Formats: sequence, structure tokens, C-alpha cells
Amino acid sequence: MQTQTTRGTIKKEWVISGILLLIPFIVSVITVWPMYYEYDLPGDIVPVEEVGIDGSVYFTYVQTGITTNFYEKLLVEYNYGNVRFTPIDNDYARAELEMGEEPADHTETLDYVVNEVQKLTDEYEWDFLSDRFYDVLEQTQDLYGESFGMMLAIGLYEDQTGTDFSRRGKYKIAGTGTLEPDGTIGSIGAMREKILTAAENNVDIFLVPKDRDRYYWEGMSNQDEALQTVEEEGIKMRVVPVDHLRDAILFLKFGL
Amino acid sequence: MKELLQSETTGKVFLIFLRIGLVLSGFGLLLTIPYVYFFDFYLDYLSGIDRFFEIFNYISYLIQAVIFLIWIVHVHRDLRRLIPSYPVSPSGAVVRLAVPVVNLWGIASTFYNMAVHFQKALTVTEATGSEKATDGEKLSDRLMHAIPFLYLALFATQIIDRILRKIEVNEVWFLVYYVAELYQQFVFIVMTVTIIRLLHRLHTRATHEQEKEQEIAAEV
Repeated sequence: MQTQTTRGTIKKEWVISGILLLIPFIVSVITVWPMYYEYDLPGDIVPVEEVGIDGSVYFTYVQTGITTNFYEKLLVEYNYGNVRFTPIDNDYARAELEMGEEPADHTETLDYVVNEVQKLTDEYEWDFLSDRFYDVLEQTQDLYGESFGMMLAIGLYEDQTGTDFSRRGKYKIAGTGTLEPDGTIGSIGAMREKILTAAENNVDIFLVPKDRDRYYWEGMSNQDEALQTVEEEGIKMRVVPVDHLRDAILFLKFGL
Repeated sequence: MKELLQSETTGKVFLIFLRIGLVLSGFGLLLTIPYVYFFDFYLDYLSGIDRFFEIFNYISYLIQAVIFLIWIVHVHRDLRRLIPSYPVSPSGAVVRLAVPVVNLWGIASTFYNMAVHFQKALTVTEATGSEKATDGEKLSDRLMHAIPFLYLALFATQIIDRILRKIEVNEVWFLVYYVAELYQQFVFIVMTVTIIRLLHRLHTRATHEQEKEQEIAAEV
């Protein structure tokens, strides 16, 4: 009888402990279970001068990252507040995580930039290719993504033609968008964060891709998202959608 | 009918959690060694496991804290039943141990009161010539002497934790933190086991005396 009582008591405390231990076990499993999300945070604006181009305009970068489980997601939310997360595929996430460690190679983007600017400035004498192409490549190897293509091209146009679109600093001009081989401005990611970053940095004019009719991905086009963000946040900055590099140059020459 | 100790099951559950905590702290210490000295290896193979145990440890520590408070309430109910003159009420003990700033004094006060009253109660019994009374006295002394070690453990873990959160320090401090945590769990275990044993001694004495009284009453 005594043994049974003792056994019963031992069992009771172990059962209670076991049930209670299930709580940390389940929470731990849920929080570290692989679950990949991409997130974007506001970043900064960078003058094209910083990558070796003598222009007055800025490109925008945002901080992006990948969280690999719920715990990391909570940490990012805790540290940065209201962050937008997008669920991503496991293979894509792993590829991105590995790629992030390698220096970025922007040879292709810079080729497009040089080709397009050459077409627009054929009356000027070119010194960029021979002298500074590789310097710019080196300066941009820490920047990921191709969204600075348009602003590099505008900066290079200023550089090669001696133009100052900022009118001696009167306007702070920034923008985002890829430069495609045919000179059109391609869509990019994290438009909302880029608009917020530009607004925080007192940008006057912000150029975005005019992609309402050619945005093939899920969600809102860059053009719509940019205009919506400006309206929602009550931002005074002028947002200018541009379809082609030529349109951007024309606007900056005659539209200000 | 023999009245059981209310704190018995809670005490045992708390002790199980303390021992699990001790194992987890030891595991944390083991995982911190590669973190400090072989970081790439840690990142490739151990960071996931470490994170799992970090969260597990944290949540079980919170549960442990709740169990501790429930146990303290039960212990004080038992103490008041076994020692009618015991001055601290269950709710008073919770306030002394759980309210910040108050607990700077409250921790010492609670365990000091326990040690003193256990000692008194068991010394009275010693006058009857029982061997267990001497044992109880030793245990009371152990509880009393453990109080400064408990403070040392609590201050050490708190201070190191704050240093690690606020200042960029050498990673070796993570090892120091786990050593302090191990030490803290060890002190908790020693004190809990001592209190459980003391309550048992007291309870056995009280039950024995009660039975004797009943026997005498029956004879009369």
C-alpha cells in the first residue's frame, strides 16, 4: 500500500512536469522551425558621386534581409518596429543567403548604362569607358540588386555632359528603377520603403518606373505603390513616373 | 487521519524544473564554448540547436518562476499550520520575493525567518533526545548559510546579463554568464532540497506527537 502511494506521488509530479515541459517544447519547435521571410526596411540615399560618377543625383537603397524562422522574424519586428515581411520559397531563401556573401558584379547593368547614355550623348567626347568603368564596378560591389541602374545612368549623363540637374543644389533628386537593355526603366522591389527613405532625406523629386501597364508580378505596380505611399503618408515630395531613360532626362532638363 | 504537506507535490515539481534548468545551463555552457572559440563551426552546425535550447530554457525558466511562487505559498501554509507562531503569511512571502526592490530585503527576510523558526521548532524537539532534531538543526543552519550565496548568485547573473545586453564585450563573458547561471541553479537546488527536508522533519515530528497524544487520550 505504501509503495503504491509512493509510486502514485512520483507519477503525479512527473506527469505535471511533463505537461508543463510541453509548453516550452512546443513553443521552441514553432519558433525555430524553418520558415523563410524576406523583409525590407528604410535605408538611405547615396549620391552617385560616391560610386565614382560626377553627377548630382542620388540613388536609394533599403535594408533587406531574410529571416529563417519565427524567432528571427520576432527579433526583427522587435528591433525595427513595423516591418513588412513577404513569405519566400525555401530554395530561393537559401540561394539568396549564400549569394549575399559574394561581392555583387554589376558589369551587365553598367554595360546597359554606358550604352544608353552613349546613345543620348553621342555628340560628347567619351572618357568613361577607358578610365573609370572598372572603378565604378569596384565601388558598387557591396550593393545588391540592380535598382540603381536608372540613377547611375542619369548621373553618368550629367558626368559626361557637364550638366547639373540639381540646379546648383536647388533640387535634391533621387530615384529608383533598373535600366533595361532597351533603355526602359524596370520595376524594383520595396518601393514603399524607398519612398519613405527618400522622404526622410528631404528629397524634392523622386523618379520611379512608370510600370502600371507592364507590371507582371503579384501586387501593386511600383508606380501605384509610390503614389499611394505618398498619399497615405502625406509626403510632399514630387514623385515622377518615367518609362524610359530618355523621358527621365527630358523631364530633368525641361520639367523642373 | 494523517494530514499531508500541501507543498509536497509542488516542491517536487519545482525540484524537477530546477534540475532540468541545471542540465539546460550546462548544455548552454557547452554550446557557448564553440560559439566563443569555433564560431564558424557553431554557425554551421550548432546555432539552430542553441537557439532551440535558448528559447526552451527561457520559457521553462518563466514556468519555474511561477511554480516557485506557488510552492512558496504552499510552504508558508504548511509552516503556519505546523508552527502557529510563524510570522510570515503566504501572501506576505510572495510580496517579499516577487516585488522588485522589496525583494532586495525580502529574499533574506523570508529564508532567514524560515531558518530561525525551523531551528526553534526542531531544537525543542531535540530536548526529547531525538536524533532527527540534530539533523534538522544542521539543515536549518545550511539554509541560513545559503542566503548570502543566493544573493551572490542572483547579483552575478543579473549583472552579467545586463553587461551582455548593453555593452559589446568579449565573448568569453557568455561563458562566465553560463557558469553564474549554473551556480545559481545549484544554490536554488540546495536551498529547495533543504526546505523540503526540513518541512518533512517538522511534519513527521508533528504527526508523531499528534499520534502520541491520540494514544494517550485513547488510553485515558
